[in-house]
Amino acid sequence: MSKAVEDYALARRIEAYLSGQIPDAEDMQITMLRRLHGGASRQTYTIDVNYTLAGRKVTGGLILRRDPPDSLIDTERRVEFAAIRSMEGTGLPVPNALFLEEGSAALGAPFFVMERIENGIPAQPFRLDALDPHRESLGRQIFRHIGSIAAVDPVGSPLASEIDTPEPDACWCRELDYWEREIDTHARKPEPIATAAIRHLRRNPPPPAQKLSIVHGDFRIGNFLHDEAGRVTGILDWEMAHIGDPYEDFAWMTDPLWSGGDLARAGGLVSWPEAVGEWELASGCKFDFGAFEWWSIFASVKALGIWISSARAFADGANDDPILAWSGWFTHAAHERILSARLSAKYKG
Amino acid sequence: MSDIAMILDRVGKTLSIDVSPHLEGHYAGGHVVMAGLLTMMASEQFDGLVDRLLSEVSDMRTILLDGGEDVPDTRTRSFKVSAVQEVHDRLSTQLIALQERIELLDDDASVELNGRIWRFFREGAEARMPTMPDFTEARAAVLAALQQTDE
Repeated sequence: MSKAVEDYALARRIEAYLSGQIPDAEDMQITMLRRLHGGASRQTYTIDVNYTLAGRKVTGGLILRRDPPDSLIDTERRVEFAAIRSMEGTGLPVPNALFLEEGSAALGAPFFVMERIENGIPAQPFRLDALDPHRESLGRQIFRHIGSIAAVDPVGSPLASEIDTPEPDACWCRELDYWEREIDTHARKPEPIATAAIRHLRRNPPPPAQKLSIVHGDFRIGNFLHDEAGRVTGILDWEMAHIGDPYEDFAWMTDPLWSGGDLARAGGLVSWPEAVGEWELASGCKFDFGAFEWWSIFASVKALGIWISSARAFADGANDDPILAWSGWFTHAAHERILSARLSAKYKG
Repeated sequence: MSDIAMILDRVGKTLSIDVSPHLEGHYAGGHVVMAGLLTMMASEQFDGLVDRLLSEVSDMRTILLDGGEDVPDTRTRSFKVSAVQEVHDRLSTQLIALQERIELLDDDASVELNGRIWRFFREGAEARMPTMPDFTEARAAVLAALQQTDE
């Protein structure tokens, strides 16, 4: 049996912080505080809190995302908070973003606090059959939600105040430049498949974005919650959000790694025509296979960039979470296999 | 006892199956499941790693020579993984440069050589791919940990 409060000292500090944020609250008490595994870029805690407000007992569930002590990711924290705020009022199932604290005085490092979504579990990336009999229904919702995110006007959004907005014809090269730099900076050995794929993408650019949109940046199996009855209840992990081409989220969601080996279905969930139809209807965009193809190959390059950065963080001792070693090994190998299979077919390899 | 692959495999399974359920909290359990999984992957790779690296060194050397490259002596005095990996990395860098040069050319020989390079990439990626352990008892714990895979 796990302890309800795993770290009493931290719980007391969180109580003090919340009391400051809700000054009329009395008897602030954390009754459960547990650190969750994963989310290696931030320490993630699930929290139950009770307090009294105007004579009424209030009980709530919170998620706290705290930077590691040596974090250099100020921008991403602010971006994640702003991205979630940008979805308010859209009807999309996102957690309510409550507090952003950029100083270290309260909890030893910057952090932000969201409401916890109660009625949902994450889908397991390597076991999509566990979603049956709701797999297709969830798939239709997922691609509708991806389209709905793309339909949100980025102009004037909280996210637009935090990051640059590219020109429509610069979305692809901005993303490719960024991930090429990540690979060049963090690679611990030569990366011939990644670098060849990057050159291929540069020689065969996609058309300009048909519109600028908010891009979640990591919309995939494992980053949404469902209620086990066929309803998507939460879209999580917005730390890679940016403004760019609407195809980016569609392509990331349908990357073969997240598709459970079922490439006949989009994201391993639903037929491709249905996925495209839901996305087009919700986003107002038209699906063009040529443009999608570019973003699909790019998704696997971006994945390699993430896994290479993960391996570097683990090897340098910046982060000891073994999931980073696994990412730098297993998923890196998986994406090298995916990319080399796709591109060798194009080059008669 | 020097059967290292067997030892790693058994230790990994013990961590993932037997130890992790007894740990308090999602965080500690998830860490140990992942540590066990990595240990099993290391077990699988242990026996064949040097053989695979040497095979790839040989293949790269052939491609580079056929591409007209000046290939330095790739023989190594040591068969330590680090020594063979160093030679492998050196040839990989040279292969990147060769491919970058020939992929802009459209003559038959260059197209054919580029195809051979991509075939080498594809076959190498297949050979490097670790097997996902598939044993029922640990599966739920492993999958629960993997669903948290993140940057």
